[in-house]
Amino acid sequence: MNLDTQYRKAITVSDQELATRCARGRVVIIDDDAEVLAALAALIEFSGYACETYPSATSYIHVLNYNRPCFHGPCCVLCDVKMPELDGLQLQKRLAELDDTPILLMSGASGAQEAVSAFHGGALDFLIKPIDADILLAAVANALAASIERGYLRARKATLAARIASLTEREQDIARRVAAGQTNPMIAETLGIALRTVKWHRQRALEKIGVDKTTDLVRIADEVNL
Amino acid sequence: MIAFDVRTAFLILGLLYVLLPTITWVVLAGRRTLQVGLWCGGGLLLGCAAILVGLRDSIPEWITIVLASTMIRVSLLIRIQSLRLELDKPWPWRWLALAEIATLLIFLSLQYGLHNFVLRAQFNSAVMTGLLLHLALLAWRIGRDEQSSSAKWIARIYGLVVVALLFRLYSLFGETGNTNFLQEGLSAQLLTLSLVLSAIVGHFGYVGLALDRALRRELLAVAERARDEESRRLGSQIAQLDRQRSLGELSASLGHELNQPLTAILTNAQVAKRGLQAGRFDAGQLGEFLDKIIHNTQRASQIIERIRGFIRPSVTRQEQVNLQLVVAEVAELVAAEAHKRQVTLSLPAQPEPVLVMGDLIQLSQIILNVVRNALEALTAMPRREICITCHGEDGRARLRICDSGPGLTPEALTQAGKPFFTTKPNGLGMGVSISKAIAAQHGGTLTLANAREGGGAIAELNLPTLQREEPL
Repeated sequence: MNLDTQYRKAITVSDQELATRCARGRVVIIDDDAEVLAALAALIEFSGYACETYPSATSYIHVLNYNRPCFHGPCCVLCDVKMPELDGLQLQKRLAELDDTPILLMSGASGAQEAVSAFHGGALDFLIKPIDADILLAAVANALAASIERGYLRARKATLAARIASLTEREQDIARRVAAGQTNPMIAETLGIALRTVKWHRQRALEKIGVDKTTDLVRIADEVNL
Repeated sequence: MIAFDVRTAFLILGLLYVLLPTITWVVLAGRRTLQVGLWCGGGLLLGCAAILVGLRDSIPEWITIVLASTMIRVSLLIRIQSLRLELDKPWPWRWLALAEIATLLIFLSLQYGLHNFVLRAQFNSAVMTGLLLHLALLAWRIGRDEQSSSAKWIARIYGLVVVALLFRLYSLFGETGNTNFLQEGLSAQLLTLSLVLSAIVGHFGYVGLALDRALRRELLAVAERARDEESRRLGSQIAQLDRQRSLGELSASLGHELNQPLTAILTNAQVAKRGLQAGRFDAGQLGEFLDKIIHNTQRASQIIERIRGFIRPSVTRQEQVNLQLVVAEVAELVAAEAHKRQVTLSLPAQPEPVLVMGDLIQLSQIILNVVRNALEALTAMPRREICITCHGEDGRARLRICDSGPGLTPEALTQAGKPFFTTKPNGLGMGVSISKAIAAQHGGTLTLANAREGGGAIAELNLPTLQREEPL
């Protein structure tokens, strides 16, 4: 729970149930056809996930801007491609700017062009309507797994970024040079400082980042900007 | 030598010319035209004139000479006019009357002014020769044009009369004093004989000609009807193809539209099945899913029905059609496409139905064509709206389709509606042309124009409304 407990009302049974569902996964369904929306929601809820439905991409964007999700858990978006105002592909672009929620697109007409641009835009899957329940649920499970994965990565990156931020300028400089493959004497010569000082800074940097081997430092440098 | 009493022969000739036209008139009952009437009337007049000539010396001279010769000339003119009408080259009646009056004046001046009876007789014979020669030539031309031997026989017999007249004209030279046709001898006998023959052959030939022509007219009428039928059939086939083409182009959107209820059906059915297997649903919950399945199935079948109704090949029907319902149906048909193109279709509601007589499918084809053009015109526009209004006033139904597009170029405004004129890269240029043709078939018009200030195109369909029957 990320809300301040001081201001929150007592947790109801339905809240608890929602939290459980959210922990399994939250699926956002967007389709302009109310019947399809209801049917898909029934299937998703039946499978034990939390489900939110929106009749248009704009209404979802609106909610995203003002009302962040309240329960933790993996999340994915299932969105129809052909919609008025903002269509599925445009929503995909907008969402990519906001966060890394995995997107599943679905379409009635299997336009190859649509599918290609969907995958280019990073869609996890492209489902052709009418969609078989097994296929849909498998795609949803995949997307939620991807969401968890992305969550881990995000957390890891955040931790690393915080650790790197705690380095002094000199330590950061030396860590960057080490990651780039320079030896201690080379660094000492370039920076015009004593070899012993280089070793000391290097040791401090490795400790602060939380790695004990130089190879790990190199890998981290690949992940985040030093 | 031919020897018979010219007076008696002339009376017989008169009787023949009275009887035979009458018989011809009776025989051609049912096929009577103005031409037949003129021919028979001319014959009758000639018969009367011949009797008057035959009664010479018994009744006043002005009747037997002035009136009879006038009647003969008029009758010949009438017959000439009859044949000219057959050839579709009639002379104006006013000219004929003027020519006759002029001839009569010359005749009178010769008879009573100069008292030169030989010259009068020569003049009269010459005029008649001219008229008869023209008649013969006309008959010959008809005979040649229509390959009708009857007409050629008419020409030959009148040619014979012309020869006899020429002989009389020749024998008139050398005559002096008062000429009495009845006592002229050989030339008069020859003329009378040829006239008798012309009475017989002329009328039988004419009946033959009239029958020939009637037969030909019927054949032509049948051919015409067949052509009409064929062109109507072709027209409806083209219209049918156009409808299929329209639908073909809408098919992607229609497919999407059809997929929605199918998706709902499949998903609802699968949820219900899973719930049943897991034993988690009670009867009420299952019922809800079944209701949804039923509802969506009906939705899908309505979409299919709409498509099928539109492409159904049909003979043109005349029925009472409410234009507003047609508009609503077309709006449903293009809803998916408009949706895809993010165009707002507005149909301001109107309480009064607008009733017209016509074919529902063809009328919806016009509207679909125009709306589809509008949809395409709106592609690159920031504001995408189409407004369809429909109302009836002063016995005309006016259906207007306005869009917020760029409007038509001046060239398109003048050219639109001509077959194969198109502004689209892969258009056929048949849509507007077919729509206009359909509108014309319904006694109406389809006009394209631009809105005055920066607006888009306006298409107006104008049709005669159906007057609602007064309650009894």
